Amino acid sequence: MKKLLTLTLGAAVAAGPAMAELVFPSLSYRTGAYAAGGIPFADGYADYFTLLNVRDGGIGGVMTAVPECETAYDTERGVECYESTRGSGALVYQPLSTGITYQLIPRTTADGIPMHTMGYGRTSAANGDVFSHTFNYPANYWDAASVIINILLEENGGSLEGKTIALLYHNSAYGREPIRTLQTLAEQYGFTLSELPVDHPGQEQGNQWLQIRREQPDYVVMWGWGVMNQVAVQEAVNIRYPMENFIGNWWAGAEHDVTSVGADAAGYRSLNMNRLGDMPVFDEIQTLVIDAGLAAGDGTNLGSVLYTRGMYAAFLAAEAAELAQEMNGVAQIDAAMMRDAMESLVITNETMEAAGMPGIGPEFTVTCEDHGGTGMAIMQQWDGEQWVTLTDFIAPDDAVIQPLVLEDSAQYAAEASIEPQCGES
Amino acid sequence: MAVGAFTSYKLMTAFPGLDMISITLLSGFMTAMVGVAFGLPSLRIKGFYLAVATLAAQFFLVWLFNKVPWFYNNSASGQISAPERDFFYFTNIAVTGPNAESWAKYLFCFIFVFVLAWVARNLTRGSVGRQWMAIRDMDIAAEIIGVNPLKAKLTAFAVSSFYVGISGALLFTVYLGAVEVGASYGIQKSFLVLFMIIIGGLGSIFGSFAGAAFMVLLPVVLKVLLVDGLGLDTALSTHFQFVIVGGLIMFFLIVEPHGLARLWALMKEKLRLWPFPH
Repeated sequence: MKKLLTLTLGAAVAAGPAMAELVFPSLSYRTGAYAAGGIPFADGYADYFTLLNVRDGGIGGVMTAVPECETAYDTERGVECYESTRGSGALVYQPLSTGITYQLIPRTTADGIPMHTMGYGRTSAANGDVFSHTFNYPANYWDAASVIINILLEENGGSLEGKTIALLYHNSAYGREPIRTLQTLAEQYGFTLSELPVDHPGQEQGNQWLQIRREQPDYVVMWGWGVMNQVAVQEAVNIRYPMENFIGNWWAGAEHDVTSVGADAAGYRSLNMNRLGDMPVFDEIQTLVIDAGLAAGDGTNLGSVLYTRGMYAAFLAAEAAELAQEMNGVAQIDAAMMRDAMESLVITNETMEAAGMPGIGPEFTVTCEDHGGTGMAIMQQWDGEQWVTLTDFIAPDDAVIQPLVLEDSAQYAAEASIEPQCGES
Repeated sequence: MAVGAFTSYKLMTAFPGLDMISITLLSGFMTAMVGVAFGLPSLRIKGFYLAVATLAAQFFLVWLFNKVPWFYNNSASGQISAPERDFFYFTNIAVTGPNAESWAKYLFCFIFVFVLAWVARNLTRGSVGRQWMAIRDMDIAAEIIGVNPLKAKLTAFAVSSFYVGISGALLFTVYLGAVEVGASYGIQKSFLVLFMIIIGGLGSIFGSFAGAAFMVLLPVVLKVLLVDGLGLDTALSTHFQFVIVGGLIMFFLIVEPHGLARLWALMKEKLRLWPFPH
């Protein structure tokens, strides 16, 4: 089952810096409290590259390799993984952890390796002027917060005056990200925001839900991950909180978060940045990768929310690598070429359709100043058996987010004494 | 450790001209003061109850650094990250930040480890150390022979907190570069340090080095052996690691409470007499 992975791993170790292939390290976590989310993402990421190898002979004729390194969502081990794989000709890092992202932003910038933090990480990295090697297209946390508020505004006839919204968040860098945006939005629209932190790993939420039961907020918005999501959904059912007023962000809306509660959780809504449903690419992965015994996991995650997102991440990385090959006219690209290509990446409906995943994400263009994409997301709802897409891609309120991004990135630039990179070019 | 890290962060951002050696030492002193404050109850309670009381400090400090935004300069994520600072005045060698060279980091830490280990060795040999040991072995007897328990206990807390503060500061500034208090200085980290001491050997300076080396190197060795050598996948080898570390801790507690330091001493003894033991 793991043969190819081990072979490529072995090859990567043996060949080392000989650079006979395109290396996309996967800092995965298949153990610990967050494994439920880490496994499908890592599977999707690895399987898509395997598909490219089997079907097309790699990217532009060069085989890809996805060496995996276990981080257990732990920042220190994430850094160790980075240090141990960066010498292998790594093209782009996707740590799938906000904590690790914060550690790696200065390191990757110093080493000249791009990092793609899709829908997580440091939001202000969308300002490419300051964060030269960090990309967070197609969307980021503050977009998510804004999209949720926009949807609620629409549902309430354009006004949230006097409403209360509780933010149930993972008490870490990840969960604290949206607070600033939501506070700004609360001032703007006149709703009351109450913040309920849940400590790592998130199994203990009795107090928080007691408070929700007492205060009866109109909406509960959740920034959760890993085991915290399942517990929160269960607790919400226990106190009979109206599920359709309980909204998760895009890391709190996968199958495994709600299946343990099942039909009782029907109505629970969450954001998603990638579309679901049947796509031609799944059939190809099934026949060429899973049936051939080359899958990274056991193959059961195919088509699930996070598998699709991992695959989407791999697709964006592969597109950027292909663009880098075109721009430089060489097949064996390096990290600097990859960075330049990521900065001029254009994703259109045609490219998505050509890859067999029509409409998986919004169309977007990355520029030197804007590393953040459009920030659009869809709303999905759990009907008791599966996730149903409710809306089309909804845009966030850039008028609110852009000043916050600029403010936060300016603070970072001052602290780390960074010169804006886009001006001179 | 968290106190040391946050003190150095505040010092680094508040006084950009300060060099790393003074920052690290000041962080140590700050932690020593906090340690003394939490050591005060030790005059009343002892043994197991004291351990629980100091455990409260662990949770209180993590909560404090999470709760009060002043400690992390109001950053949106609650993380602190180390800016670039120099080795010492007038030297232009960075030891923190992404551009620091590995050799500079290594030498910087090595100087601290060397000097502090040397000081520790001499402290334990001198009168202060003998007072500590007397109090540790039997506090009533120590009091009778003229050891001031207040002074001995509080200096013990101050000195050990000073060491811990320095290690916390170095972990943040030199090694990690960015820290989130719950993830990096949580109870897990305290357990890791405790295991290092148990495996290395309680009550010896060499033991803490041996234990630290063991706990840090074991995952690396296991990864090389299981993932690269045997071709197991990463998740399985991580699970194996839990089993092996847990087993070793039980083994050491039951079979050899004095840990690796004792094993090392025994081996030296045996080899000296080999091949003709008594």
